[in-house]
Amino acid sequence: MRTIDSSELMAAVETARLSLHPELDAEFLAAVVRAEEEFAEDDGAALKAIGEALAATIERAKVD
Amino acid sequence: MLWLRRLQIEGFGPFAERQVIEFPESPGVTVIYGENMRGKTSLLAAIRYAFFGRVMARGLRQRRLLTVCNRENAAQGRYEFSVVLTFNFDDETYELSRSCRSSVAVPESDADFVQEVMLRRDRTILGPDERARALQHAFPGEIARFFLFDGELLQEYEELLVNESDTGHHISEAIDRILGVPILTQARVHLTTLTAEADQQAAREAQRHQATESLGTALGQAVQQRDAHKLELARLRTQLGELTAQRTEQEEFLAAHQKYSSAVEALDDARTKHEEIIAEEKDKRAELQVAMSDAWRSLLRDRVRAAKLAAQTDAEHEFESYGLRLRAQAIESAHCETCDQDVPPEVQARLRDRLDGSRSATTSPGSGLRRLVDLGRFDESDNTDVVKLLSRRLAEIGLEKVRLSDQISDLTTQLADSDPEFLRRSRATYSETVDKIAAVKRAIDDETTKIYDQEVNIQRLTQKLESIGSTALLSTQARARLLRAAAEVFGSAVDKYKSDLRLRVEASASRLFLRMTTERLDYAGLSINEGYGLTIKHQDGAAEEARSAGAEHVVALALMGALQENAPLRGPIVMDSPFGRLDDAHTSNVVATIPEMAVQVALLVYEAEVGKPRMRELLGPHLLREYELVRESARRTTIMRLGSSHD
Repeated sequence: MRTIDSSELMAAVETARLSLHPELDAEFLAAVVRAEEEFAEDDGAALKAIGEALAATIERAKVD
Repeated sequence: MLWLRRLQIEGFGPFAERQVIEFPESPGVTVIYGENMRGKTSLLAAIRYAFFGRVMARGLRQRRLLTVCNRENAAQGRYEFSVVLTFNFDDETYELSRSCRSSVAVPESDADFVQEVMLRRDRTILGPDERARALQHAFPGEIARFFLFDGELLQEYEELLVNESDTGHHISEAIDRILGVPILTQARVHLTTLTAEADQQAAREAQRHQATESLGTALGQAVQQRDAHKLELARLRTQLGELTAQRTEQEEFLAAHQKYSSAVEALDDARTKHEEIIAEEKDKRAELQVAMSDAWRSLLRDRVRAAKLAAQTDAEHEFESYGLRLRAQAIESAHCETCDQDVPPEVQARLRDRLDGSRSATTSPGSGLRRLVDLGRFDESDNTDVVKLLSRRLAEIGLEKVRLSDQISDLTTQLADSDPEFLRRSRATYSETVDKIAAVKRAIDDETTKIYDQEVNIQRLTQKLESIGSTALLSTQARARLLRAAAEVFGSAVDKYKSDLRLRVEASASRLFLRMTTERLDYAGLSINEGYGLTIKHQDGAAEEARSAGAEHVVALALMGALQENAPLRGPIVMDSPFGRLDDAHTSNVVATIPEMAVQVALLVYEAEVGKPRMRELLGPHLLREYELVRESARRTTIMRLGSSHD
């Protein structure tokens, strides 16, 4: 019964981002949600995916 | 999403031979009719068994495998059953089969059975790990209660309104799960883990440079201490979860064995009283023995009194006789020996006159007086009352002993099929568990405070380093800062998401409730609490505190539908006899609302709840297929597809 609609989850995260840390990259947070959905039963894989998303975010920030 | 396609069972409950149910591929309702004892609950149990490998009876009580075997087969020495469930998930077809057979001629316990499981995805048979992952992904056991349920399970939703209820807490957690909350909570946990790693990396980087070495060392220690406290906190939380689960199991065990538990309590009480009364009997017998050693006096008292009177009379006579003898001597010797004086003749004459009229003289006073002295030594005190009281109490004790012995014998007979010692230990263990939970909660509070203190310390040290750190250090710190901020965002998002969800679940549940209740004019809807407990709201705004069993049922069904409507996780609903507590009007409303609750619904009903014509009328085009559980014998049921429905 995989998540078929995570838009509500994302909306809650985006609201919290705008309220607390608008400087944070929204794409990074979306990647975190996707990693948790994809690897709901595998902590190691989820951590790895988040780490990769973080590296990509930092790279994007350098380019910008 | 998960979609049930086919269920095949054999030797399971009353289904002696292989039986099959084919579920339609279109959205709608499949109804399976069956009278009591025909196997409706076994069908629900078979689906649960296929997914989770455990056979549950009503209300999720685990069943022994021996009781699952078809009794007709078992009578012929065949102790085996199997379930094959075909389902679709993520555009792929799975075939899940589980079989169970006895490894001995006549099994006595679950250990005597061998179970096998196989999951095939299209044409590929999955290995054990992949199978476990695939099943957990397709249908997590934690949320099964929202898809496979019976009336008893629906009753548990009342617990959501009870604070500190373990069952309510578990259900609330399961609701969080079906609503997707763990995605956010896990994200926060993982981001926090990565933050800790970044903090440690920053500390190591700082220690490499002289200017920041001491601050780096302090930061490293603070991070280590915080992480150690976090580990301890995690351990304590796990322990709390385990203890809470144990407490729930122990409560359920004690509740299930309430009758035996009460009997054990009564037996212990009777035995204690029996021991006490035996001790009292011993004391009273000792007191009686002492009292009886003086009791003979009361038996002789009247005789002694009579003897005293006789002795008194004799003694008086003896004194009188002795006086006469002294006079006679004085007359004869003309001298009184008593006063040592001579007695003149005229006195002698007078004494002789008196003496002549009296009785004969006695030589000396003696036996009467001696008897009187002896009898005077007799203690006349009377302890009859004490003896009577003690004897009466001993008689009562005798009766009480017989009564308690009878009670002990009766209770021992009642407990012949149980293990009283185990029940006693279970009660003691339950008390210990409650104490341990309290201690672990205190420890959790303590660790939480320590973590907060270390976090403050880490923030302070990090700020100091930011002003003097190297480029590499600043980069690592930036990484930690980003992760910390993200973790904070997810922490806040959890609260926001849950808060929004509660409102949406409340709105959906209210709508479904008003569809199902017969009191639409009086009720305004439902209101939801923090743990997803639902309260009926009257039009006047007041909460309906006292709810009937039927109302509870309707509220629970409304919650089920609302969760399906709002959850990112969706699947089929299989309901077993969900109308038992509902009157006709509510039953009609619920049946008519069922197609709104899930895309695929299988309804197990007996016709007294809802007859076929009424079911067809209420469900209309949503009724896709009908089956009937047909009695072949008390131990054998077959499944027949009815032809009047349309796919």
